[in-house]
Amino acid sequence: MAKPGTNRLAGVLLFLLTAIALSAYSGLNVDADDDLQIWVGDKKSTVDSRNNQGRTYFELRDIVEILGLGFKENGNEATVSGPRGQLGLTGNRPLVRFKDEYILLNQVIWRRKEKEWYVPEDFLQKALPAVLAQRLQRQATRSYRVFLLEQNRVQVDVINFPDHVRLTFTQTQTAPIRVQEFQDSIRVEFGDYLVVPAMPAVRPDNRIVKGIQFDTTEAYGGFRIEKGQNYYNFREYPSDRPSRKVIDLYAPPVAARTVPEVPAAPPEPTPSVVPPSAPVPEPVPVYKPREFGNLITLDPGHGGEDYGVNPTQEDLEKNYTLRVAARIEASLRNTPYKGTLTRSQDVEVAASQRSAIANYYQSRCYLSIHVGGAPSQDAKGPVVYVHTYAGDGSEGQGGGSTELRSRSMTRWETGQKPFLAQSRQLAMLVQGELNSLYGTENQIVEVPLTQLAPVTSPAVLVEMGFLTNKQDQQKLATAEFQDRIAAAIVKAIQRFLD
Amino acid sequence: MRKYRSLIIALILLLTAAGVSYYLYRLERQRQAELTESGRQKLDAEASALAKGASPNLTVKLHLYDPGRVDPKSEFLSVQERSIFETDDKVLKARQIVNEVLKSRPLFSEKTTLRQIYLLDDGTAIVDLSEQAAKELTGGITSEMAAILSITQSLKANIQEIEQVRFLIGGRQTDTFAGHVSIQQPFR
Repeated sequence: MAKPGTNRLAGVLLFLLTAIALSAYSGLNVDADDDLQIWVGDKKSTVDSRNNQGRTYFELRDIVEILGLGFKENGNEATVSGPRGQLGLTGNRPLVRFKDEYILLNQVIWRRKEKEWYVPEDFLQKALPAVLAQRLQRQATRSYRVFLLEQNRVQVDVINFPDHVRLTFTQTQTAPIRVQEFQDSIRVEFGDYLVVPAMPAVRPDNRIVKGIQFDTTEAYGGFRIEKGQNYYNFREYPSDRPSRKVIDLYAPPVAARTVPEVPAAPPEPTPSVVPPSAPVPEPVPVYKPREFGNLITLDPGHGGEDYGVNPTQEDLEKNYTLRVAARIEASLRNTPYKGTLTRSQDVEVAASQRSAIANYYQSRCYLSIHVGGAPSQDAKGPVVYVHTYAGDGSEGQGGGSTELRSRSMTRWETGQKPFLAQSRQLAMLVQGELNSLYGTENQIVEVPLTQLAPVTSPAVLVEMGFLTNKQDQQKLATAEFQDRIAAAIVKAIQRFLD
Repeated sequence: MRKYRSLIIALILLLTAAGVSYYLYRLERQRQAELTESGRQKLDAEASALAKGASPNLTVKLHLYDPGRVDPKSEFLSVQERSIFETDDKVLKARQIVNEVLKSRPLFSEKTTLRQIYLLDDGTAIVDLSEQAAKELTGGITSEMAAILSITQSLKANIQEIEQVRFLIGGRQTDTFAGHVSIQQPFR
């Protein structure tokens, strides 16, 4: 016989099961009661929320009213207009159009019925800031606050170099900076703060940069750099303290390339030749600094986050390399040659960038300055390395430069092939000078080196002693010995080139 | 009986749900265990040999970095004997050899591991080392060449089919081993 309690228990169990099933099925469609809050000053406004297919949406009409924006509907499309532009919305699509780009939301926009549009929360984070004159900041879950935009004073500075123009954008805030290239211009956009521009006092070289304008069509204000007729390409790099973006705009590299026989006299500037029968085009002045042909590229190894060999916290290879390279550059001033550094500060430079600088300047030779490191503390003394094309067995025979002279295309990593013999010659001279300085009898070593492989001039990598060896380290740490290393290397360079 | 019907249905439903969940759970556990076991057996001869209580029985001559030698050139390797487990599987043999070479201190750190090794038909061995191989290295070309040459020479000396060795770091083909030496080409 069933006790009276059994029936009740069965009822409770059934009720629980039904409740679980029902909530699992329909819970997704139940209206959520956690609405969105937007604070404007001290006033709190609430935006209604609604669930659709398991996702939370907020009523667009409420948001538009609170923020004082315009709203227009045209069938399945709608526009939200703010002081900085318009957002284009389409029902059942996760994309919001702003000017020429699309902002992707993590769920679709929901057009429930006429004039009743719902947007996901990330619409407020990703799309709305583009058209607002104020800053919309997320305070807590589903709580936002509208701030007046703070100002970001951006100082623009111009430095004209022989072959490039350097523009520096220094900002008082640390806003994200985006640089985009267009056909006739390069745009520099700032985020998060209202940009107050301070335009440069110096005019840029108008062959490379026609002009710089403050561009108010950007979300927070930005700059438009108009390319000049001799503009070729640009390079950008960020910098901290103060936060700034440096943009270098370059003229094209010298059009007619000749590969000098080494040793040879510095090549005369060769004007680009136009066949007489061809229609004469508008002459584009090719910028050619007078140093071309006499440059020696010096590459201080490592830099920035890349410390190189570092047996202790203070002893960083990157510092030694820069100090000695700078000394070599200074010593070269007393010779007919001129040194140029791939980095003059403590910054990280990619290996390919270092080789590219040497090739761009068509330098007479390339020396990458390093300090050695070994698992054994006994390894000591200077070692000079040259590249070898290990594996493929096709070293440039005879050391000639016929491959380049025939103007056939050369693969990037095979640039060093015609110069291997000359590189070995330079390496032996440097090794000899450094050996007599150190009193060692080390030999040059051939190793496949990523950085030397693309260099289209005689190229060596100098490891001026081992940082892991106590005597070497003590010598290297003194300015006097660094001067002597620099002098020895300069002597070797002169013997090689003269 | 009518009084009990709803109770019985509810209980049956609950029991069925619990039973099915438990069955699926057991099935998945068993599958995972089988996968782990087969992977272990296949990839690690040392472990399976150890499980049988065997000791290394094959002597190989490895070319290892010798901290006693100071010549910073490529001849700084010295031939040393080590024991590995005998196996017909060349991949397992190569794996054990590289693992032995990686025990060289202070050239490699304890964190450096062999991620994977592949032997191709053309005589190329592909050695995939963990990122620590590059990160924990002392730095400098000497260290990089010592690491590259000791692995390459040891493999070539003990497995006839291997003609050249290509290196991957952290599963990826990188420009350099640890900043200087190019590993885009295989080493012979």
